[in-house]
Amino acid sequence: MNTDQYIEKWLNGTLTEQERARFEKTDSFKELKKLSDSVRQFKAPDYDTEAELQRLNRDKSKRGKQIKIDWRRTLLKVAAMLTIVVGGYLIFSYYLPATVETSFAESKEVLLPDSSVVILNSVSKITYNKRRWDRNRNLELVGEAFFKVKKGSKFDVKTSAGTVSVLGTQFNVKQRKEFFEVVCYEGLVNVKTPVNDNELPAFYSIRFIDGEVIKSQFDNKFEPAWLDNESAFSSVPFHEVTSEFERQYEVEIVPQNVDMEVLFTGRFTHDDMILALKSITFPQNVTYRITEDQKIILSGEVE
Amino acid sequence: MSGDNICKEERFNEIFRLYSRELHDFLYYKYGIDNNPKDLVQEAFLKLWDNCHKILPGKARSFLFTVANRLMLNELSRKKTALNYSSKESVKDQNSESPEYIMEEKEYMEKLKAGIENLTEEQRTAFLLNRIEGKRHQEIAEMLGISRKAVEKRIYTALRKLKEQVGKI
Repeated sequence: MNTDQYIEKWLNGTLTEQERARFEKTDSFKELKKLSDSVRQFKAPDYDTEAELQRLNRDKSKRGKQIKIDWRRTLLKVAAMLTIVVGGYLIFSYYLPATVETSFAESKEVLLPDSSVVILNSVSKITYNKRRWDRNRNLELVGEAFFKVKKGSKFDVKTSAGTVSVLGTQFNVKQRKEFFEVVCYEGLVNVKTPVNDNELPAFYSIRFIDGEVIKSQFDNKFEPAWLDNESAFSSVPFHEVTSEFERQYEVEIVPQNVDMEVLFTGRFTHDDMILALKSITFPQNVTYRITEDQKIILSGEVE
Repeated sequence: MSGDNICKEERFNEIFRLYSRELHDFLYYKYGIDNNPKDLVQEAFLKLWDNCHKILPGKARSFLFTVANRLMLNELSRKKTALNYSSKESVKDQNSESPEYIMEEKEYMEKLKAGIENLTEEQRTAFLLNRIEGKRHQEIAEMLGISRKAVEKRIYTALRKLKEQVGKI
Protein backbone atom coordinates (compact mmCIF):
# COMPACT_ATOMS: atom_id res chain seq x y z
CA MET A 1 0.00 0.00 0.00
CA ASN A 2 1.41 3.41 -0.92
CA THR A 3 1.09 6.60 1.08
CA ASP A 4 -1.85 7.93 -0.89
CA GLN A 5 -3.80 4.76 -0.27
CA TYR A 6 -2.99 4.97 3.44
CA ILE A 7 -4.18 8.55 3.55
CA GLU A 8 -7.39 7.72 1.75
CA LYS A 9 -8.13 4.85 4.13
CA TRP A 10 -7.20 6.98 7.11
CA LEU A 11 -9.62 9.66 5.96
CA ASN A 12 -12.41 7.16 5.52
CA GLY A 13 -11.56 5.51 8.82
CA THR A 14 -11.10 2.13 7.21
CA LEU A 15 -7.52 1.38 8.28
CA THR A 16 -7.10 -1.81 10.24
CA GLU A 17 -5.44 -1.71 13.67
CA GLN A 18 -2.23 -3.08 12.14
CA GLU A 19 -2.20 -0.70 9.22
CA ARG A 20 -2.78 2.27 11.47
CA ALA A 21 0.08 1.37 13.75
CA ARG A 22 2.35 1.08 10.78
CA PHE A 23 1.09 4.31 9.19
CA GLU A 24 1.43 6.34 12.40
CA LYS A 25 5.17 5.72 12.39
CA THR A 26 5.68 7.35 9.01
CA ASP A 27 6.71 10.95 8.43
CA SER A 28 3.78 11.60 6.17
CA PHE A 29 1.48 10.69 9.03
CA LYS A 30 3.15 13.28 11.26
CA GLU A 31 2.63 15.84 8.56
CA LEU A 32 -0.93 14.80 8.18
CA LYS A 33 -1.56 14.88 11.91
CA LYS A 34 -0.19 18.38 12.18
CA LEU A 35 -2.28 19.51 9.27
CA SER A 36 -5.41 17.90 10.62
CA ASP A 37 -4.92 19.37 14.11
CA SER A 38 -4.18 22.81 12.72
CA VAL A 39 -7.28 22.73 10.58
CA ARG A 40 -9.34 22.45 13.78
CA GLN A 41 -8.23 25.96 14.65
CA PHE A 42 -10.39 27.15 11.79
CA LYS A 43 -13.53 26.23 13.62
CA ALA A 44 -16.51 28.45 12.94
CA PRO A 45 -16.81 31.40 15.32
CA ASP A 46 -19.22 31.31 18.23
CA TYR A 47 -22.85 31.46 17.46
CA ASP A 48 -25.28 32.80 20.03
CA THR A 49 -28.43 30.89 19.24
CA GLU A 50 -30.74 32.80 21.59
CA ALA A 51 -29.52 36.23 20.47
CA GLU A 52 -29.95 35.24 16.84
CA LEU A 53 -33.41 33.87 17.54
CA GLN A 54 -34.42 37.16 19.12
CA ARG A 55 -33.08 39.00 16.10
CA LEU A 56 -35.05 36.74 13.81
CA ASN A 57 -38.27 37.26 15.75
CA ARG A 58 -37.75 41.01 15.63
CA ASP A 59 -37.33 40.85 11.85
CA LYS A 60 -40.33 38.59 11.52
CA SER A 61 -42.63 40.99 13.35
CA LYS A 62 -41.09 44.01 11.66
CA ARG A 63 -42.08 42.66 8.29
CA GLY A 64 -45.57 42.42 9.71
CA LYS A 65 -47.76 39.42 9.74
CA GLN A 66 -47.74 38.48 6.11
CA ILE A 67 -51.10 37.62 4.81
CA LYS A 68 -50.28 34.33 3.32
CA ILE A 69 -52.54 33.31 0.54
CA ASP A 70 -52.26 29.71 -0.37
CA TRP A 71 -53.03 30.08 -4.05
CA ARG A 72 -53.62 26.43 -4.62
CA ARG A 73 -56.29 26.27 -1.94
CA THR A 74 -57.85 29.55 -3.04
CA LEU A 75 -57.98 28.30 -6.59
CA LEU A 76 -59.63 25.08 -5.45
CA LYS A 77 -62.24 27.07 -3.56
CA VAL A 78 -62.98 29.23 -6.57
CA ALA A 79 -63.17 26.15 -8.78
CA ALA A 80 -65.56 24.44 -6.37
CA MET A 81 -67.78 27.50 -6.27
CA LEU A 82 -67.78 27.80 -10.05
CA THR A 83 -68.69 24.12 -10.34
CA ILE A 84 -71.65 24.63 -8.04
CA VAL A 85 -72.84 27.75 -9.81
CA VAL A 86 -72.38 26.43 -13.34
CA GLY A 87 -73.68 22.98 -12.43
CA GLY A 88 -76.66 24.50 -10.66
CA TYR A 89 -77.38 26.67 -13.64
CA LEU A 90 -77.16 23.71 -16.03
CA ILE A 91 -79.52 21.62 -13.92
CA PHE A 92 -81.84 24.56 -13.42
CA SER A 93 -81.87 25.44 -17.09
CA TYR A 94 -82.64 21.82 -17.93
CA TYR A 95 -85.96 22.19 -16.11
CA LEU A 96 -86.66 25.63 -17.49
CA PRO A 97 -88.26 25.97 -20.90
CA ALA A 98 -85.74 26.83 -23.59
CA THR A 99 -86.44 29.81 -25.80
CA VAL A 100 -84.92 30.68 -29.15
CA GLU A 101 -85.74 33.99 -30.73
CA THR A 102 -84.79 35.82 -33.92
CA SER A 103 -84.75 39.50 -34.66
CA PHE A 104 -85.26 41.46 -37.86
CA ALA A 105 -83.42 40.18 -40.90
CA GLU A 106 -82.23 37.14 -39.01
CA SER A 107 -82.83 33.42 -39.21
CA LYS A 108 -81.67 30.66 -36.91
CA GLU A 109 -81.38 26.92 -37.02
CA VAL A 110 -82.26 25.05 -33.83
CA LEU A 111 -81.39 21.43 -33.17
CA LEU A 112 -83.92 19.84 -30.83
CA PRO A 113 -82.92 17.08 -28.37
CA ASP A 114 -84.20 14.33 -30.74
CA SER A 115 -82.24 15.97 -33.58
CA SER A 116 -85.33 17.35 -35.21
CA VAL A 117 -84.49 20.67 -36.79
CA VAL A 118 -86.33 23.97 -36.59
CA ILE A 119 -85.31 26.90 -38.76
CA LEU A 120 -86.68 30.18 -37.50
CA ASN A 121 -87.50 33.00 -39.90
CA SER A 122 -87.12 36.66 -38.87
CA VAL A 123 -88.89 38.01 -35.78
CA SER A 124 -89.98 34.58 -34.57
CA LYS A 125 -89.72 32.64 -31.36
CA ILE A 126 -90.00 29.04 -30.17
CA THR A 127 -90.29 27.83 -26.58
CA TYR A 128 -89.89 24.19 -25.56
CA ASN A 129 -88.87 21.89 -22.72
CA LYS A 130 -85.60 19.99 -23.09
CA ARG A 131 -86.62 17.70 -20.28
CA ARG A 132 -88.45 14.54 -21.36
CA TRP A 133 -88.41 15.83 -24.90
CA ASP A 134 -88.56 12.32 -26.35
CA ARG A 135 -91.88 11.57 -24.69
CA ASN A 136 -93.32 15.01 -24.91
CA ARG A 137 -92.47 16.69 -28.20
CA ASN A 138 -94.28 19.96 -28.19
CA LEU A 139 -93.24 23.52 -28.63
CA GLU A 140 -94.80 26.91 -28.89
CA LEU A 141 -94.26 29.06 -31.94
CA VAL A 142 -94.76 32.74 -32.54
CA GLY A 143 -93.92 33.78 -36.09
CA GLU A 144 -92.68 31.53 -38.85
CA ALA A 145 -90.55 28.42 -38.84
CA PHE A 146 -89.70 25.44 -40.98
CA PHE A 147 -89.66 22.03 -39.31
CA LYS A 148 -87.83 18.83 -40.16
CA VAL A 149 -89.25 16.40 -37.64
CA LYS A 150 -87.60 13.05 -36.87
CA LYS A 151 -89.97 10.12 -36.81
CA GLY A 152 -91.21 9.35 -33.32
CA SER A 153 -94.02 10.27 -30.98
CA LYS A 154 -96.48 13.02 -31.81
CA PHE A 155 -94.87 16.37 -32.46
CA ASP A 156 -97.00 19.41 -31.66
CA VAL A 157 -96.47 22.98 -32.72
CA LYS A 158 -98.75 25.27 -30.76
CA THR A 159 -99.53 28.72 -32.08
CA SER A 160 -102.11 31.28 -31.07
CA ALA A 161 -104.14 30.34 -34.14
CA GLY A 162 -104.07 26.56 -33.71
CA THR A 163 -101.97 23.47 -33.21
CA VAL A 164 -100.07 21.57 -35.88
CA SER A 165 -99.48 17.89 -35.11
CA VAL A 166 -97.27 15.47 -36.99
CA LEU A 167 -95.41 12.22 -36.57
CA GLY A 168 -92.34 12.92 -38.67
CA THR A 169 -92.25 15.15 -41.65
CA GLN A 170 -91.23 18.50 -43.02
CA PHE A 171 -93.49 21.44 -42.84
CA ASN A 172 -93.60 25.19 -42.52
CA VAL A 173 -95.77 27.07 -40.07
CA LYS A 174 -96.44 30.75 -40.44
CA GLN A 175 -98.55 32.57 -37.94
CA ARG A 176 -98.53 36.36 -38.23
CA LYS A 177 -101.33 38.48 -36.78
CA GLU A 178 -104.42 37.42 -38.70
CA PHE A 179 -102.47 35.22 -41.04
CA PHE A 180 -101.93 31.52 -40.34
CA GLU A 181 -100.44 29.17 -42.88
CA VAL A 182 -99.11 25.63 -42.74
CA VAL A 183 -97.28 24.11 -45.66
CA CYS A 184 -96.55 20.38 -45.69
CA TYR A 185 -93.50 19.20 -47.65
CA GLU A 186 -93.45 15.57 -46.56
CA GLY A 187 -95.67 13.11 -44.68
CA LEU A 188 -98.95 14.08 -43.13
CA VAL A 189 -99.72 17.06 -40.93
CA ASN A 190 -102.72 17.63 -38.73
CA VAL A 191 -103.76 21.25 -38.31
CA LYS A 192 -106.21 21.89 -35.54
CA THR A 193 -107.78 25.30 -35.09
CA PRO A 194 -110.61 26.34 -32.81
CA VAL A 195 -112.78 26.14 -35.90
CA ASN A 196 -111.89 22.78 -37.42
CA ASP A 197 -109.50 19.86 -37.86
CA ASN A 198 -107.59 19.46 -41.15
CA GLU A 199 -105.45 16.66 -42.51
CA LEU A 200 -102.77 18.02 -44.74
CA PRO A 201 -100.82 15.67 -47.06
CA ALA A 202 -97.51 16.49 -48.73
CA PHE A 203 -97.42 19.39 -51.17
CA TYR A 204 -100.57 20.87 -49.73
CA SER A 205 -100.84 24.10 -47.87
CA ILE A 206 -103.59 25.44 -45.72
CA ARG A 207 -104.15 29.08 -45.03
CA PHE A 208 -106.44 30.89 -42.63
CA ILE A 209 -107.06 34.52 -43.36
CA ASP A 210 -109.71 36.42 -41.48
CA GLY A 211 -111.71 33.28 -40.76
CA GLU A 212 -111.44 32.02 -44.30
CA VAL A 213 -109.83 28.62 -44.89
CA ILE A 214 -108.00 28.07 -48.15
CA LYS A 215 -106.49 24.69 -48.90
CA SER A 216 -104.36 24.45 -51.99
CA GLN A 217 -101.87 22.22 -53.73
CA PHE A 218 -98.49 23.51 -54.89
CA ASP A 219 -95.74 22.14 -57.10
CA ASN A 220 -93.08 19.86 -56.00
CA LYS A 221 -90.80 21.91 -53.81
CA PHE A 222 -88.70 20.68 -50.98
CA GLU A 223 -88.32 23.69 -48.77
CA PRO A 224 -89.91 27.08 -48.27
CA ALA A 225 -88.39 29.92 -50.26
CA TRP A 226 -87.23 31.87 -47.20
CA LEU A 227 -84.64 29.17 -46.48
CA ASP A 228 -83.01 30.31 -49.75
CA ASN A 229 -83.11 33.92 -48.61
CA GLU A 230 -86.29 34.67 -50.47
CA SER A 231 -89.89 35.21 -49.53
CA ALA A 232 -92.45 33.69 -51.87
CA PHE A 233 -96.16 34.41 -51.92
CA SER A 234 -99.03 33.00 -53.78
CA SER A 235 -102.31 34.91 -53.65
CA VAL A 236 -101.51 36.57 -50.36
CA PRO A 237 -102.99 39.93 -49.30
CA PHE A 238 -100.48 42.68 -50.05
CA HIS A 239 -100.27 43.81 -46.40
CA GLU A 240 -98.87 40.35 -45.54
CA VAL A 241 -96.18 40.91 -48.14
CA THR A 242 -95.23 44.34 -46.78
CA SER A 243 -95.20 42.96 -43.21
CA GLU A 244 -92.81 40.24 -44.28
CA PHE A 245 -90.72 42.87 -46.03
CA GLU A 246 -90.56 44.90 -42.83
CA ARG A 247 -89.41 41.83 -40.89
CA GLN A 248 -86.71 40.95 -43.38
CA TYR A 249 -85.23 44.44 -43.83
CA GLU A 250 -86.11 46.06 -40.52
CA VAL A 251 -87.80 49.03 -42.12
CA GLU A 252 -91.17 50.68 -41.87
CA ILE A 253 -93.47 50.75 -44.85
CA VAL A 254 -96.05 53.49 -45.06
CA PRO A 255 -98.74 52.91 -47.72
CA GLN A 256 -100.44 55.90 -49.33
CA ASN A 257 -103.43 55.24 -51.55
CA VAL A 258 -102.51 51.59 -51.87
CA ASP A 259 -105.03 48.77 -51.69
CA MET A 260 -103.44 46.50 -49.13
CA GLU A 261 -106.01 43.73 -49.56
CA VAL A 262 -105.16 43.04 -53.18
CA LEU A 263 -103.73 39.57 -53.58
CA PHE A 264 -100.06 39.27 -54.44
CA THR A 265 -98.24 36.42 -56.11
CA GLY A 266 -94.48 36.61 -56.42
CA ARG A 267 -91.30 36.66 -54.38
CA PHE A 268 -88.61 38.98 -53.11
CA THR A 269 -84.99 38.43 -52.19
CA HIS A 270 -83.56 39.02 -48.69
CA ASP A 271 -80.20 40.17 -49.99
CA ASP A 272 -80.92 43.34 -51.95
CA MET A 273 -83.53 45.79 -50.65
CA ILE A 274 -83.93 47.90 -53.75
CA LEU A 275 -84.32 44.84 -55.95
CA ALA A 276 -86.79 43.40 -53.43
CA LEU A 277 -88.75 46.67 -53.37
CA LYS A 278 -88.97 46.64 -57.13
CA SER A 279 -90.20 43.04 -57.12
CA ILE A 280 -93.11 43.80 -54.86
CA THR A 281 -94.10 47.24 -56.15
CA PHE A 282 -93.89 46.80 -59.91
CA PRO A 283 -96.55 44.05 -60.22
CA GLN A 284 -98.90 46.07 -58.01
CA ASN A 285 -98.48 49.23 -60.03
CA VAL A 286 -97.16 51.04 -57.00
CA THR A 287 -94.26 53.50 -56.74
CA TYR A 288 -91.89 53.73 -53.79
CA ARG A 289 -89.83 56.44 -52.23
CA ILE A 290 -87.33 56.23 -49.35
CA THR A 291 -87.44 59.13 -46.91
CA GLU A 292 -84.51 60.53 -44.96
CA ASP A 293 -85.58 58.72 -41.80
CA GLN A 294 -85.48 55.43 -43.71
CA LYS A 295 -89.18 54.95 -44.10
CA ILE A 296 -90.53 53.55 -47.33
CA ILE A 297 -93.51 55.37 -48.75
CA LEU A 298 -95.60 53.37 -51.18
CA SER A 299 -97.97 55.38 -53.35
CA GLY A 300 -100.73 54.06 -55.53
CA GLU A 301 -101.58 55.52 -58.87
CA VAL A 302 -102.95 59.00 -58.61
CA GLU A 303 -106.21 59.11 -60.45
CA MET B 1 -53.52 20.65 8.34
CA SER B 2 -51.07 19.16 10.80
CA GLY B 3 -51.49 20.20 14.42
CA ASP B 4 -47.72 20.22 14.58
CA ASN B 5 -47.45 23.17 12.23
CA ILE B 6 -44.19 25.11 11.86
CA CYS B 7 -46.27 28.29 11.65
CA LYS B 8 -46.74 28.00 15.41
CA GLU B 9 -44.31 30.29 17.18
CA GLU B 10 -43.07 27.71 19.74
CA ARG B 11 -42.58 25.04 17.14
CA PHE B 12 -40.68 27.44 14.90
CA ASN B 13 -38.41 28.58 17.75
CA GLU B 14 -37.72 24.98 18.66
CA ILE B 15 -36.61 24.30 15.11
CA PHE B 16 -34.39 27.37 15.17
CA ARG B 17 -32.69 26.19 18.36
CA LEU B 18 -32.19 22.74 16.86
CA TYR B 19 -30.66 23.66 13.52
CA SER B 20 -29.46 27.28 13.42
CA ARG B 21 -25.95 26.63 14.79
CA GLU B 22 -25.36 23.74 12.45
CA LEU B 23 -26.60 25.83 9.55
CA HIS B 24 -24.42 28.74 10.61
CA ASP B 25 -21.27 26.61 10.73
CA PHE B 26 -22.13 25.14 7.38
CA LEU B 27 -22.55 28.60 5.83
CA TYR B 28 -19.34 29.81 7.42
CA TYR B 29 -17.31 26.99 5.91
CA LYS B 30 -19.03 27.49 2.59
CA TYR B 31 -18.85 31.27 2.20
CA GLY B 32 -16.43 32.49 4.87
CA ILE B 33 -16.79 35.17 7.53
CA ASP B 34 -17.01 38.18 5.21
CA ASN B 35 -20.23 36.99 3.63
CA ASN B 36 -22.05 37.19 6.96
CA PRO B 37 -23.08 33.63 7.72
CA LYS B 38 -25.27 34.88 10.58
CA ASP B 39 -27.34 36.97 8.19
CA LEU B 40 -27.59 34.07 5.78
CA VAL B 41 -28.98 31.93 8.60
CA GLN B 42 -31.60 34.61 9.21
CA GLU B 43 -32.44 34.67 5.54
CA ALA B 44 -32.87 30.91 5.38
CA PHE B 45 -35.13 30.87 8.44
CA LEU B 46 -37.24 33.74 7.10
CA LYS B 47 -37.76 31.64 3.96
CA LEU B 48 -38.80 28.74 6.16
CA TRP B 49 -41.24 31.04 7.97
CA ASP B 50 -42.73 32.24 4.69
CA ASN B 51 -43.32 28.66 3.65
CA CYS B 52 -44.23 27.33 7.09
CA HIS B 53 -47.68 26.10 6.04
CA LYS B 54 -46.20 23.95 3.31
CA ILE B 55 -43.41 22.23 5.22
CA LEU B 56 -43.76 19.42 7.70
CA PRO B 57 -41.54 19.70 10.80
CA GLY B 58 -39.65 16.58 9.76
CA LYS B 59 -38.66 18.25 6.48
CA ALA B 60 -37.55 21.55 7.99
CA ARG B 61 -33.86 20.67 8.26
CA SER B 62 -33.51 19.51 4.68
CA PHE B 63 -35.46 22.58 3.54
CA LEU B 64 -33.03 24.85 5.40
CA PHE B 65 -29.99 23.19 3.84
CA THR B 66 -31.55 23.27 0.40
CA VAL B 67 -32.14 26.99 0.80
CA ALA B 68 -28.60 27.49 2.13
CA ASN B 69 -27.12 25.63 -0.84
CA ARG B 70 -29.11 27.72 -3.26
CA LEU B 71 -28.52 31.12 -1.66
CA MET B 72 -27.27 32.97 -4.66
CA LEU B 73 -25.02 35.55 -3.18
CA ASN B 74 -25.07 38.66 -5.23
CA GLU B 75 -22.01 38.26 -7.42
CA LEU B 76 -21.13 41.94 -7.15
CA SER B 77 -21.28 42.18 -3.40
CA ARG B 78 -19.85 38.71 -2.83
CA LYS B 79 -16.63 38.77 -0.92
CA LYS B 80 -13.66 36.47 -1.06
CA THR B 81 -14.08 33.51 1.26
CA ALA B 82 -12.05 34.40 4.33
CA LEU B 83 -11.73 32.15 7.36
CA ASN B 84 -10.17 33.00 10.68
CA TYR B 85 -8.19 30.74 12.98
CA SER B 86 -7.57 30.93 16.67
CA SER B 87 -3.86 30.70 17.33
CA LYS B 88 -3.99 30.57 21.13
CA GLU B 89 -4.58 26.88 21.82
CA SER B 90 -1.42 25.55 20.27
CA VAL B 91 0.66 28.22 21.97
CA LYS B 92 -0.79 27.65 25.41
CA ASP B 93 0.39 24.05 25.87
CA GLN B 94 3.93 24.68 24.99
CA ASN B 95 5.41 27.36 27.20
CA SER B 96 8.95 26.77 26.23
CA GLU B 97 8.62 27.88 22.70
CA SER B 98 11.38 29.66 20.99
CA PRO B 99 10.48 32.81 19.05
CA GLU B 100 11.72 30.95 16.02
CA TYR B 101 9.25 28.16 16.56
CA ILE B 102 6.43 30.65 17.01
CA MET B 103 7.41 32.34 13.77
CA GLU B 104 7.45 29.03 11.94
CA GLU B 105 4.14 28.12 13.44
CA LYS B 106 2.61 31.39 12.33
CA GLU B 107 3.95 30.93 8.86
CA TYR B 108 2.47 27.45 8.71
CA MET B 109 -0.96 28.68 9.79
CA GLU B 110 -0.94 31.47 7.23
CA LYS B 111 -0.12 29.00 4.50
CA LEU B 112 -2.88 26.72 5.68
CA LYS B 113 -5.32 29.61 5.76
CA ALA B 114 -4.45 30.57 2.20
CA GLY B 115 -4.75 26.94 1.21
CA ILE B 116 -8.21 26.53 2.69
CA GLU B 117 -9.40 29.79 1.20
CA ASN B 118 -8.21 28.70 -2.21
CA LEU B 119 -10.11 25.43 -2.15
CA THR B 120 -13.25 25.32 -4.20
CA GLU B 121 -16.41 25.97 -2.28
CA GLU B 122 -17.44 22.31 -2.60
CA GLN B 123 -14.09 20.93 -1.44
CA ARG B 124 -13.81 23.32 1.48
CA THR B 125 -17.32 22.76 2.81
CA ALA B 126 -17.04 18.99 2.75
CA PHE B 127 -13.49 18.94 4.10
CA LEU B 128 -14.08 21.30 7.04
CA LEU B 129 -17.40 19.76 8.05
CA ASN B 130 -15.58 16.45 8.24
CA ARG B 131 -12.33 17.51 9.86
CA ILE B 132 -13.65 20.19 12.24
CA GLU B 133 -17.24 19.25 12.95
CA GLY B 134 -16.57 15.53 12.72
CA LYS B 135 -19.52 15.01 10.40
CA ARG B 136 -19.67 11.61 8.78
CA HIS B 137 -19.50 11.36 5.01
CA GLN B 138 -23.12 10.29 4.76
CA GLU B 139 -24.29 13.29 6.80
CA ILE B 140 -22.33 15.69 4.65
CA ALA B 141 -23.75 14.10 1.53
CA GLU B 142 -27.26 14.80 2.82
CA MET B 143 -26.42 18.39 3.77
CA LEU B 144 -24.98 19.14 0.34
CA GLY B 145 -27.47 17.06 -1.58
CA ILE B 146 -24.74 15.01 -3.29
CA SER B 147 -23.59 11.37 -3.18
CA ARG B 148 -21.34 9.92 -0.51
CA LYS B 149 -18.73 9.01 -3.09
CA ALA B 150 -18.60 12.63 -4.21
CA VAL B 151 -18.08 13.75 -0.62
CA GLU B 152 -15.17 11.33 -0.17
CA LYS B 153 -13.58 12.54 -3.36
CA ARG B 154 -13.91 16.17 -2.33
CA ILE B 155 -12.40 15.58 1.08
CA TYR B 156 -9.49 13.66 -0.35
CA THR B 157 -8.81 16.23 -3.05
CA ALA B 158 -8.95 19.02 -0.49
CA LEU B 159 -6.46 17.25 1.74
CA ARG B 160 -4.05 16.67 -1.10
CA LYS B 161 -4.18 20.31 -2.15
CA LEU B 162 -3.57 21.49 1.41
CA LYS B 163 -0.66 19.13 1.82
CA GLU B 164 0.94 20.58 -1.24
CA GLN B 165 0.28 24.09 -0.02
CA VAL B 166 1.86 23.74 3.42
CA GLY B 167 4.66 21.57 2.08
CA LYS B 168 5.91 24.48 0.00
CA ILE B 169 8.74 26.40 1.53
